[in-house]
Amino acid sequence: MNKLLVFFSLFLVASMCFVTIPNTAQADSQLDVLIKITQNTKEHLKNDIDKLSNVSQEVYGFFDDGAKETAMLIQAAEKEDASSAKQHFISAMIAFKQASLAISESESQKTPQAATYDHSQTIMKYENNIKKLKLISGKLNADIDFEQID
Amino acid sequence: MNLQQKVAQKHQSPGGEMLLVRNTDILSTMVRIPIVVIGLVLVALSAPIQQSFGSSRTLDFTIYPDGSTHVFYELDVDPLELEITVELFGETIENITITDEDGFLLSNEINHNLAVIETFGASHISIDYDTQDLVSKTGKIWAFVIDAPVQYSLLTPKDSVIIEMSNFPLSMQVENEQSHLTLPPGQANISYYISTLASAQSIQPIQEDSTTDNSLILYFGGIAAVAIIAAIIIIKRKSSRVEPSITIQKDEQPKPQSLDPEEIFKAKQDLREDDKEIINFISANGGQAYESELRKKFLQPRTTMWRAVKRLERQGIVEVEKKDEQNIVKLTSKLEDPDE
Repeated sequence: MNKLLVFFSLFLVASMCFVTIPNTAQADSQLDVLIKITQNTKEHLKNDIDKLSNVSQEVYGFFDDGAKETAMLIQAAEKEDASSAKQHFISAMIAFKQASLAISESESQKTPQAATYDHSQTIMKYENNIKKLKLISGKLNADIDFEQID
Repeated sequence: MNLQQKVAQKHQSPGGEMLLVRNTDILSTMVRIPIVVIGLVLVALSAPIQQSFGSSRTLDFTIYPDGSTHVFYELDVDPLELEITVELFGETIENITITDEDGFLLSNEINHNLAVIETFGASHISIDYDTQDLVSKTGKIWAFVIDAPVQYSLLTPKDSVIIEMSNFPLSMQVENEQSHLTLPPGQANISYYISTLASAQSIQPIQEDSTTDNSLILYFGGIAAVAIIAAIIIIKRKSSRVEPSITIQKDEQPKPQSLDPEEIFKAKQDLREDDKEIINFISANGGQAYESELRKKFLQPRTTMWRAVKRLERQGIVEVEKKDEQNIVKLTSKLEDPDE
């Protein structure tokens, strides 16, 4: 009986310790998330710049700054220096934002480009609203005919 | 108090002046393992409950490519309260539905960014609405600005490229080319643009964040580790209980060899059959055995075995020694003459 109790006590103590572990794991992965965001931004901007003709030196300058800060962010993350990594993340994002704004300005000066959005998401929003209405209608036994919308 | 007195009396020295109380007695008397276990159970149970109270609110934002934002807000309310006032995000509120935990609509009144909701009887409410006020646009750059009271999730539009983030995300997942971020409470300014090239270009997608999987692995790994540790402890305890008989055998080696059972049976022809079996067992066990071992072997009650041992002791066949509060029954090295 005592063995069982000892075993059970050990299990409880261990389970209490493990309650705190996910937070630590999350803190570690936060740096990975920052790297992913900056790398994704860098890749997209690079593609945008490559596709454009007559890109100003200013844009290249901002992009290079962002790329350098991204590299330093990765180095800081490898050293597990969270505060330095966060600082490089902010710097990289500022540089990338400035590059994006510069590209946006030069684009608008040349030809006002019509925005080509993916409307499927907006349609999905309306679909979700209709689904919600159907659920509420069902709950209230309102007997509303949704056939026309469908 | 009575228990302590009993323990003290039990170990009183013959002189009656000193009180000798063993540590093990103190522990077994004062520290009640079941009470400790119950305490641990309560503490263990309270940890997830505390966590659930801390995360009783859910706040999700879904940004659409047209700049509108869908807000999903879940919160616990006091069922005895007639109504509550909830601050909404944005002032232009569209398509709002407020339901209780059973999915029934709750009456509400919206005044700018405040919703007065009749919540009597409801313990959990869900608020769904759309707003255009959380996202603004400058050139091709969109900016999402929020001051959230709790941790929240944010689903960005498809092909969006984040170029500014004033708050550090806790986690990130990519679903269907949409970034799903978890952000801490507080002021946040997130800027992005919709990459028109993104769909045409095969940009390496961001790998899904494996934070959740890691925590699960850690959790189950922890359980396995505890089970292994407990198993090792139990095995060690078992082996340590076997050790005394081994050490006794080692101690016995330099001592004179015990009598052969046949010699005893020849000399003591009137021995009972059950006593002969005891002698045989002790002899086979290296010439000595704990009285408890004999009880277990012959399935005899304590008093019956004690009488048998006393009988053999009187005949000079065995001698009894005390060790660790247990009786060790040893075969004598030389049979005593009963006439002496």
